[in-house]
Parts: sequence; C-alpha cells; structure tokens
Amino acid sequence: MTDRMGLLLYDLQLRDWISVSLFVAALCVVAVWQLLDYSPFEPRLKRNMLNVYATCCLAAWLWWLFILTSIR
Amino acid sequence: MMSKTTQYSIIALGAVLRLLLIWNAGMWYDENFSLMLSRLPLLDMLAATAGDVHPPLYYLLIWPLGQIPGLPAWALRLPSALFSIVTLALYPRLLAHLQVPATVQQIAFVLLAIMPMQLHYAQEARMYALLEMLFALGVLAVFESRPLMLCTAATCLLYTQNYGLLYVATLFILTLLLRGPFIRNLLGAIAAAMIAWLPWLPVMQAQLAEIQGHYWIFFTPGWVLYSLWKLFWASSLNHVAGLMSSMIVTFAWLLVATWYLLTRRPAAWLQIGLLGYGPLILAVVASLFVTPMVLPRPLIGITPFLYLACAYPLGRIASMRHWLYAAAFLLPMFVTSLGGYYVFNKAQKEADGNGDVAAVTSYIRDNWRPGDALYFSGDSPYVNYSPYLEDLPRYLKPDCTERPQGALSNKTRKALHATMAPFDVVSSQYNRIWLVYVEAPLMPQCEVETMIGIIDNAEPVYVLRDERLIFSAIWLLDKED
Repeated sequence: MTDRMGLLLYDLQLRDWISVSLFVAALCVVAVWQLLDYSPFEPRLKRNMLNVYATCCLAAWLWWLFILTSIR
Repeated sequence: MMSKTTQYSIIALGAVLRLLLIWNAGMWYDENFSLMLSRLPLLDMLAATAGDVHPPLYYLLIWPLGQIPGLPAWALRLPSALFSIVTLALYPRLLAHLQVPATVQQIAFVLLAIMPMQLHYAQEARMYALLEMLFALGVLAVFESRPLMLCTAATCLLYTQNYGLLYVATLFILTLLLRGPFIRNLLGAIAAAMIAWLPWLPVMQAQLAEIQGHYWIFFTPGWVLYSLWKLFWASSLNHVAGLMSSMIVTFAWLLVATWYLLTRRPAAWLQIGLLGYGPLILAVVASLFVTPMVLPRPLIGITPFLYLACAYPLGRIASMRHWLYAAAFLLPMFVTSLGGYYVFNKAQKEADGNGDVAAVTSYIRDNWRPGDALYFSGDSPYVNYSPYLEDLPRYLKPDCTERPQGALSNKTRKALHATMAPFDVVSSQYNRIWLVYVEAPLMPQCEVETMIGIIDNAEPVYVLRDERLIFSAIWLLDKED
C-alpha cells in the first residue's frame, strides 16, 4: 500500500465516523424532541431549546458566508 | 393543485439555475471519458463502453454531438440539463398522482428546482440526469396505466445504468402495490423491458467479471449515510464547516420526514416511501450480498421522492414563528449550498480533471517541437488530456502489475485507440518526451516506482496539483540535454 492510499483510507474512515456520529447525534436530537412531549417543562423548554439552536444555526450561517467569501 | 403560473415560474427558475455557468467549469475525468467516447466511431464507442462498467444508451444519445467538429466540450452537458428540466416539468404530475397537499407540493417542487444535487448532475456530461428522468417517466407510466410508456422507460433505464435494474424492480413493486385495473398490462410491459434488455446481460456479466476486485467503491454504514447526505447537497457544502453542520441538520430533517411518513401516514405514504427509499434499500442489500454498489449519483432517481418526504413536515408548519425556526435551520444550507455550488464547482471539477486543461494544453502547444511525444502515467491523465491533444503523438504506460483499482480495462483502452507502450520504446523514437504523471492513492507502489525511475532524468515544467492525496505534474525529458 502506498502512503497516499494510507492517507485516503484514513480520510474515508474519518468521514465514516463523522457521518455515523452526526447521524446518531441527529437521532438523539429527534428522539429527545419526541420524548419532551411527556415532560412537564414542555412547551417552554422546547421553545428555549429552539431559540438556542436557531441562534447557533444563524451563527453557522454567518460563518459559512465568511468562508464562502474568503476561500478561493 | 398548484396554479399554472406557480408551476411555470418554478420550472423557469430551475431551468435558469441548470443552465447558469454550465460552460464555466472544465471537464473532469468522467466527463472527459464521455467526451472521448462521443468522438469515437460508433462501433468503437460501443466496444469502449462494453469494456467499461455502463450500458450504452447515454453514450448513444450524446454520440451525434461528439461528431460535430469544433463543438466546445461543455456542450456535451446540455443534454443533461435538458433531461433535468424535463424531470422538473414532470414533477407536478407525479405530485398530483401522489395526492400531495398544495403547500407540500410547492415546497417539494422548489426543492427539486434548487437542490445542488440536481444542479450538479444537470451540468454534468454523464448519464445521471437521464436516469432520473427515466425513473420519473416510469413512475408516471405506472400511475397513468400506460404500458407502452412504461416499457420504453424501463428498457431505457436498463440500458442507461446498471442501477436501472433496481429502478425497474421498484417500478415492479409499485405496480403490484397500486393493483390498478391494468396491472397485467403493466407487468407485461416490465417483462417486455426485461426481455429487451437480455441481449445486454452477457455483456454486463463480462463487465462484472472484469471489474471484480478492481472496482473502487467502499461499503460501510458511514458511506451509506454520507451518500444520503450527498443526495441533497452533492459537493456544494464539502468544506468541513458546511459538511458537519449541514450533516446534522440534514439527518435530523430526514429522520423527522421518515417519522412523519410512518406515523402520520399521509395519502400515498407507502408509495412515497417505496419510491424514496426502495432503490437505496435494494442497493444496500445488493452491497451486502453481491458486490459493493452504493453510490450517491446513480441514486439520483429517488431524490424527487426523498425531497417530497422532506417537504411534508415543512408543509405542516402553520405559525410564522415556526417558519422562522425552520428558516434558521434550513436557509443557511440553501444559501451557502447554492453559493457554494457556483463558487466551488469549477475548482472541484478542475481538480478532478487534473488541473486547468486549457492552460496546460496551451502551455504544451506553445512549447511543442517536431519530434516530441506525450507519455501518460495512467488512465487518469490520459483521459483528462487526450481529448484536447488528439493531434499529437500520445502514449499510455502499460500497467506494471495486474490491473490497478479504478483503471480502465484493456478492452476499453483498445477501443479508445490508446497506444500502450513501455517508456523505453517511446524514448527510442522521439527527441523529447512530455511526461504527464499523476500520483493518486489507488496507484500501486510499482507504478509509483516505475514512474519515479522515468522522471528521474527529466525536468519538471508544470505542476498540476500538489495536494495531500494527489500529486500531478508534467516533466520534460530532452534527450539532447
């Protein structure tokens, strides 16, 4: 196996782990969201969580726009 | 039902996005392979694809374009744009048959018009936009009980890509599921398509035997998930900041959509689930038991139905506050993916095509002398540069070992009229040799060592790519020096 093949396999494994981890994370978010329906804190808690997450997403948006305009 | 004005506006938007900057990016390896095939005599073109991995229909359709002298290479992308626009135009009819509520229809229709996956393959000289259009036509034929149309679409699917088998199997299940009054005629149409495909079956078997152990597809759970993500964004969000955050939002969106389909069961939920996930599930099963075959691009046929599933939860949103939340999650991805598609597409394709072909070929031509020859280290530089240097003497280095992964078969190389010769033979015939060398991960160690031995006495003149995974450059060997 060449060095570059080793690097490719490392990248593919890393991408696999990222994909699986983020899928599990997304599964947890959706599952917790469903389970919150049975919590006494609902709907205020859901609303607060949404506010936090939406703010993060908007921040990510600005970050992406920064990347988009600064990378060639 | 959407109004005609809304439909035409969305189709016009999709058409503009599909044609915008279609000429801008250089062609990458797969597109250059299409270009080479389209320029061959018809029988050689058929032999080249029979020795490769795909059936011939797409190459037959673009072949007349390749025969027009002086036609720019990017013009080969225009049929794909046309196929993609036709799919978009067919979509409202499909949505109507699936009894989709008006709001959900509009959301799904806009998604199909603007998703980067759609734009990417509408602007690619490959068969995937055709595959998507044919599957949509096949589904429409089942819904509208039109056996002749179904037979034509299914036959064309089978002759376009090997995934056609999975799509035809899905059409078969859909026909059984609907149990319409013309079920016998429709099943007969699918059977007729399978019979029409039989002449290609031995060729496909030979192709499978040929690529056994040499194909480059890996199969892992992470790859399947990554492929699903790609069906939305293609390569437009590949930068790591976009990849990670868009992955979690996309997976959550898909999970919510699937959960919605399974629990709330809107009208035709089973059909939508079958069309959106059926071919993917079949590909996973085939990968587990036959050979790894999950790839995002041939799965493009399921995207209209996957996007429809994703449109359902959005269509339920009633309050402005919830729309704002949805926008906070999804808008960043749409804005950056559309921007990212048009910004990065050129760089991405040219990287996959071994550099800026126009600049490199004009450099070679400007410095070319009588008695020069080109020597390519492998298929990748040969396919990427040959179509633009057809008038110059070109040679391809034979494999130093058994066929490397991802390499063309000798049958295809022969049909492409590639002259394979050891370096010593070429060196004895020419004064100067331009060595085009690409060192990529799938290249066996012996290939690297052979090429390093050859370029040792040559002078580096042009670096094409100097990256972590790939290094490619041009050396010039002048025997008089």
